[in-house]
Amino acid sequence: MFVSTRNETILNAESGPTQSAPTPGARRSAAAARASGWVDLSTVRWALGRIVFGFAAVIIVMSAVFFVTRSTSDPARKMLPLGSSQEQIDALNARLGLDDPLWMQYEHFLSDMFHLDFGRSIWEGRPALEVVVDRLPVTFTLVGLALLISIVVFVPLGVIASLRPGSLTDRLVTALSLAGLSAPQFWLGAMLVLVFAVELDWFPTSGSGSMIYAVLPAVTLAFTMGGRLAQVTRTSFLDQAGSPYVTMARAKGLSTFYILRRHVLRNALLPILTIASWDTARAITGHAVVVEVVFAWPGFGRLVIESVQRQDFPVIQACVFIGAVLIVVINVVTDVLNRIIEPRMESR
Amino acid sequence: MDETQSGEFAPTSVPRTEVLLQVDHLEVSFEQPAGRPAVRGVKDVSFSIAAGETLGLVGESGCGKTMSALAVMGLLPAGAAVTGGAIMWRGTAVDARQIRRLRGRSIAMIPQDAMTALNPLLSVQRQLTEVMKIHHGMGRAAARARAIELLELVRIDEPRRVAVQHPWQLSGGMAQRVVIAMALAAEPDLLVADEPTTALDVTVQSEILALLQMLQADLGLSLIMITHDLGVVAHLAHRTAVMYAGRIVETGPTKRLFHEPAHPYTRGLIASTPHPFRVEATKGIPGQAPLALLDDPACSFRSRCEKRTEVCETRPELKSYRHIDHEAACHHAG
Ligand SMILES: Nc1ncnc2c1ncn2[C@@H]1O[C@H](COP(=O)(O)OP(=O)(O)O)[C@@H](O)[C@H]1O
Ligand SMILES: [Mg+2]
Repeated sequence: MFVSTRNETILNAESGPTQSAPTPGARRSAAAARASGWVDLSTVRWALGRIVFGFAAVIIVMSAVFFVTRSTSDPARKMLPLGSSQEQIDALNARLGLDDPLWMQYEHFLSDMFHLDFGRSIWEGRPALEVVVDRLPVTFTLVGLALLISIVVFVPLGVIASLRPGSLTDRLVTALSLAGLSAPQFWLGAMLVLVFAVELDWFPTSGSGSMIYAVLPAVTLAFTMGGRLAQVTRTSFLDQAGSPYVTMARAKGLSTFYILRRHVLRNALLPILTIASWDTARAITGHAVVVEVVFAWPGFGRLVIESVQRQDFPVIQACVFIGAVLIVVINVVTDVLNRIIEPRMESR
Repeated sequence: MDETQSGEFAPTSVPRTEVLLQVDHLEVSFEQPAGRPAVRGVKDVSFSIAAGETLGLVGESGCGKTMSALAVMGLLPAGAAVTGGAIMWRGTAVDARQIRRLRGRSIAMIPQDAMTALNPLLSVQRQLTEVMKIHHGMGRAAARARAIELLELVRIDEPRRVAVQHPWQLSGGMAQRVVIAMALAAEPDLLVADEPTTALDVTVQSEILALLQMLQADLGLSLIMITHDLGVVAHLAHRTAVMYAGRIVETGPTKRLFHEPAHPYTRGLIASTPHPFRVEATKGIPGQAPLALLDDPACSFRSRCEKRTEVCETRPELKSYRHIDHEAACHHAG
């Protein structure tokens, strides 16, 4: 591969020097370099572009939060005891800078955001960002383990189901994944606790600490995430199985397993990856909240609910910020992975 | 494609010393919703091909050429199955499992659309070498060297550059050459080419046909050339089988079949094939080929046939016509 890349460069040099615009040869060689696994300059430029775009998205989301909260609520009144006088409210507003003109507040808000300063939690008194970041390891453990289970268990199930569409195995897998997908998480969690914690006593009923606490909540979450993933995997593999290149691979006398591993897997991976990352982003940014409540896990999702209930604006803003950043990061990682798998795909 | 260009019309028959593949009364059916009778796609298809011979399989689109080829390769799609007949390889009947062992070793396929037959995400080189590595236990370096050789053999310029390219970087003609190289990688005895030039433009078509003819002669391969284009068959097939509505209606040495066509359908096909040096309008066959009427007790062609009489209400068997090797299924032949 190294040799080939060098050849491309030589070719380039031969065809290039008289023209200033990139020649077809140069474009082809860039594509070839990308295809052969070499990260060329255009990939780096593209990735940087994605990151800049991501940050812009975070700023837009945060600005929306700023204007919506400033125009629809009166935090000082909420923070003071009921029956406080207008003077007291005005004094607090002045102290919090809430009586400044809106554009000035916005400027402060943006500048604070760039310094990762979201103020202190009204409820806990600690820096809001710290409150949020403290909750992340718990959620990352839960979602990470659920994702791992989905990939190790449900993706292979989807592949197996796709091998013989309509067979008993296929119908069992489809039934299982649809059940997992549509069963309410609180019910599923309660059932798992009943069987594996109460009856069999294999796992603790709730709480957090060591990894053993993570198993039941992660399995609960994995049924939802994995159910969808198994379905997407099945469909994607079936799609590929009908394509001419698979018939050609079979005509070459290759075994089914080899064809799946070397030919179909990579082609089928794009939709699977997309759904997996979408589900992961969703779970991290709050969709795992039911599981967190059922198993008393002090995660990110629960913090979002709690801080909204408490009208803890600094924490809400920090939650939205962290959520937006996480979604951007997951999207960029997914795009990079997609591009590695599918070199033809240009930025979306 | 024409007599003037090659100087000779159809290659002369090769001595049929060793029969490689023989297909006897092959029947392919499609699964039908419960209650309805099985629709048959192909019935009573028999042909044989000797070592070093090219057999042309011609017929209108939908007549069952691809299904016959896929049945021989054991590659019928889901819902289709071989429901009758026998396939014999070098004189012994082979079942599905044995056919699987022949694939990619003794029998190779060149599909209709080369571009989609290549895996879009793997380099040309990887798709070329996997067969060598798996079937012949070749090492990386040896397989790569052989891949370059094969690309040269199929007349690709700059084989080293093309080897590291991906299918989407190839033109249609190049992709077809790569697929031919892929088929040759297995060092097969028999190549099954299913309309290998249909997806290409005319100039590239004749290049690919010339290449196939050259390879067939130089490597002593047997070739089943499937096409709807009689011109292609006239140019390179030693023997020709004409299919109509799922059955073979005429078969014989290409020269005989063209000079003395016995079946009205074959005559119609010949008349409707455009000739590059004849300007007069070609005559088509009126009407449409019937589909899935295989259980019809009458001759399938009768509705479009000028010679139709009462006898056509019974199905004609394939029988010799003027020559032991030339057979036609028509009551009015000979
Ligand atoms: N899954 C299927 N179910 C029913 N009929 C089919 C199916 N696939 C193909 N056929 C029919 O089988 C016949 C033969 O098709 P094919 O071998 O592809 O024709 P050709 O290659 O000669 O154009 C056609 O009439 C087609 O309509
Ligand atoms: Mg066909």
